[in-house]
Amino acid sequence: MAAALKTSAIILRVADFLKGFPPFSYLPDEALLELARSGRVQFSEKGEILFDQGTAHGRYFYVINKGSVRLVRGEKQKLSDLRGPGDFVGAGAVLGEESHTDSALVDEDSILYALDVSVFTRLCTESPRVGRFLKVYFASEEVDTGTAQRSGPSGWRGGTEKHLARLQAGLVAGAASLTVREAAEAMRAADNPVFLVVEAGENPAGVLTDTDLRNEIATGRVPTEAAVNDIMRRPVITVSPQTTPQNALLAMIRHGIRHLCVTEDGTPQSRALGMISERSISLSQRRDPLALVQEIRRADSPSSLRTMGGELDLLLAGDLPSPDDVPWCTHLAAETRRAMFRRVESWAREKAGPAPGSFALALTGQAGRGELLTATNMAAAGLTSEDEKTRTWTQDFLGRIDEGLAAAGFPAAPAAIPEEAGARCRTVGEWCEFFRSLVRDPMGGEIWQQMAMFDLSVVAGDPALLETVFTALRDEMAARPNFIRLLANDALGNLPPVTIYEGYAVEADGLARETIDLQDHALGPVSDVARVFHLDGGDLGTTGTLERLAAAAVRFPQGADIFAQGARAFRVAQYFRAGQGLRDGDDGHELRPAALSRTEQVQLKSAFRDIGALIAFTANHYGFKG
Amino acid sequence: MDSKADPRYVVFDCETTGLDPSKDGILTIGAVAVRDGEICLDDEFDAILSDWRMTSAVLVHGITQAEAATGETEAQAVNKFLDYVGDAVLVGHHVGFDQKIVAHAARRLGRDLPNPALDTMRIALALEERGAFEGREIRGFDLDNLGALFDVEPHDRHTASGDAFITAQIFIRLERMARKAGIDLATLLEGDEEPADAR
Repeated sequence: MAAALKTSAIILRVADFLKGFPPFSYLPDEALLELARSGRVQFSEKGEILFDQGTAHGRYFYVINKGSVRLVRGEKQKLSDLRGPGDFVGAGAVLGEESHTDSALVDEDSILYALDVSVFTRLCTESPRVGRFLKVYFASEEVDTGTAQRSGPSGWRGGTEKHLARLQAGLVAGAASLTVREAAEAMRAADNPVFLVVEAGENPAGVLTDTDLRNEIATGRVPTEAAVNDIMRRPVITVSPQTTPQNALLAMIRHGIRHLCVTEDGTPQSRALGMISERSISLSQRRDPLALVQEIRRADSPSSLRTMGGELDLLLAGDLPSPDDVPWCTHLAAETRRAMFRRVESWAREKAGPAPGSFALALTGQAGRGELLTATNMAAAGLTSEDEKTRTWTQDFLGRIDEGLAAAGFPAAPAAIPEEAGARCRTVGEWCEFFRSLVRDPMGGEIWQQMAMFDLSVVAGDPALLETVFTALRDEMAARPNFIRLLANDALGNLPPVTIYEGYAVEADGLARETIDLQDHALGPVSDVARVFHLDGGDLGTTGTLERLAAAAVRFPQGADIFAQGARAFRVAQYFRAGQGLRDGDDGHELRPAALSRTEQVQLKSAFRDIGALIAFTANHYGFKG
Repeated sequence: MDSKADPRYVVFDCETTGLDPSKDGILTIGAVAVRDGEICLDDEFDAILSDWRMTSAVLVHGITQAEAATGETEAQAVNKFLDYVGDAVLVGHHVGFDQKIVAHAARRLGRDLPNPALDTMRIALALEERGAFEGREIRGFDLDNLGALFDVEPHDRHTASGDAFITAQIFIRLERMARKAGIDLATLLEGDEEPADAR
């Protein structure tokens, strides 16, 4: 640290130590020297109490120079954190807390820097980044890892652009009764590849594009004097002016189109304002996921899909600078991997021939929830009409899809999902009975093995088949209200680590592990709790964990803050899992905390605390002792 | 020294041009106060003297000519140090030498240094006599070995402030051990008339 000669070497020594750790590292040198000058150095022996839970904050908070301090809570002195060199304790007053939320016990002989709270509070107000870090330290906000700057205006997300206004092209529009030639003339005059057909009130009714003119007029299939009404495409897919470019892109991917109509309220029942093209969005975003999806749709072999999966991973790895980006990247990954699934399905269908009866394929578990940031098993469940012929056909069809997915690089089915296609294929009646018996006798049905089946989402075939199954499941659950409570109990089984200390994940009983299974101890518990509240609300239509938590916050407002914290923790855990998985080419579930930076460790610790709070709320809500 | 009250201690160290307090001079003084068993970072002292810039000791202690050139005269620095010390109990490792060389400088200014002093070496030896270090591996009672014993980082060793900070961190441990061992530090006090230990 550079400083004027007048500064004592002792103060410099303390300030130098602080500078090695966030959030002190975010402070300018002069501020650090002032903070160091405000303090005391004390030696505390193992077993000493620094402060008691519930007592008022004192003049000082403590930065650990050497040794460790254990934070405990409640009569049973339950471990809430273990902190070591560079960590600090007793700084809640900086965020306005009046008393200590934990007791602090010295865990081993320690040298502590006791620093003045009022000085630190003032310095925090002068440095927003320190303030944000502290909010994470106290588990109330996401941390600024300093990487978010990567997504500036030149980044893929298009900077801070919040709506589509800047991307809208001029509107070339007219009535459906115009001739195709008149519409083409208007398009040529405006040098615009899209003609929007509008009806009374200027609401969008259809779209005519360059491609339609080439396919229908230039080939002679339709005369130029035909009415636009004869060849226009409908319905028009619309978005609102507030839609983000990312969501506009997702809509294009979802509908397989290259143009969207912007209307006043985002529905086709309001006035058209402009058209958005894939090209304008792509230009604004540098990279082109839509082009990737189109390549996937044209892929000629599973091995080429494997390459495209790698491209998707690269694209996601570049577009995930912070947990804030998780929701959008999750949607992008889900749409793209589902497109890969559908490409594999189309090859399988060519070989399997036409289905003899009605069927549906539904993704399960993580894939069903659309949580596919990293390549995850996509083994689908098959639902068929009641005839054996269709059931046999679907079973064969699923087997072919499994082979194609494996060749395209998707991982094998986890233990919770049956490997054999036959075990995943049932008639609608059999599925109804499967769920009814599961609800009637959850233990006998080994429900803990079947949770993935509550996250079914149709990816191909007739969605009505799954609706029939859901109706049966809904009725059975309504008749057996205790079922939800049992599901809740099951969701409380896997607790997150209490803290990360010196690169180890520390559990409540003090056991330290070198690795954390993010799926089992972070993402899984949040998903399980979100599913319980989702089913409790009578919802069966599958949505992702984040959407379920948002819905739960509305339905159970007393837990709104806890659900928001749980969602935040889920985004953080997804971020770390995806970051690791996309880098290492696996699903990233196993994380070594020692490999994380100190700021990242704080971020993850904060997420564990939030998950712990969500589980405690769930236990309390369903009448279990925490 | 009232053995009941907790006094203000000033832990200090001087870097000097030689080992003879009557002839040699002070290059730097570093000091920090200890109260209630805590090192008070808002109560510290640091001075570089400009009078001795050309001596070979300057090289030993790593003080650059540029630093010394910006320093204070002996009169300025010692006067300020005496004011800073006030009626504190002085503490140092082999404190007798530092106490004497400051006292000599004080006398040149017509002042004196009547303060009692505690030697961390002497406290450590008293604790050793009582068996307070039993079970701990001690290789010696010099500053480096006591620092290693208490896991004190040897940062800025052989600078006055660095050594004063290291000594202060050792002192707060020894003070606590002495209390537990029933040793009254008042019984270990030294005056400035006692012969200095060899450095």
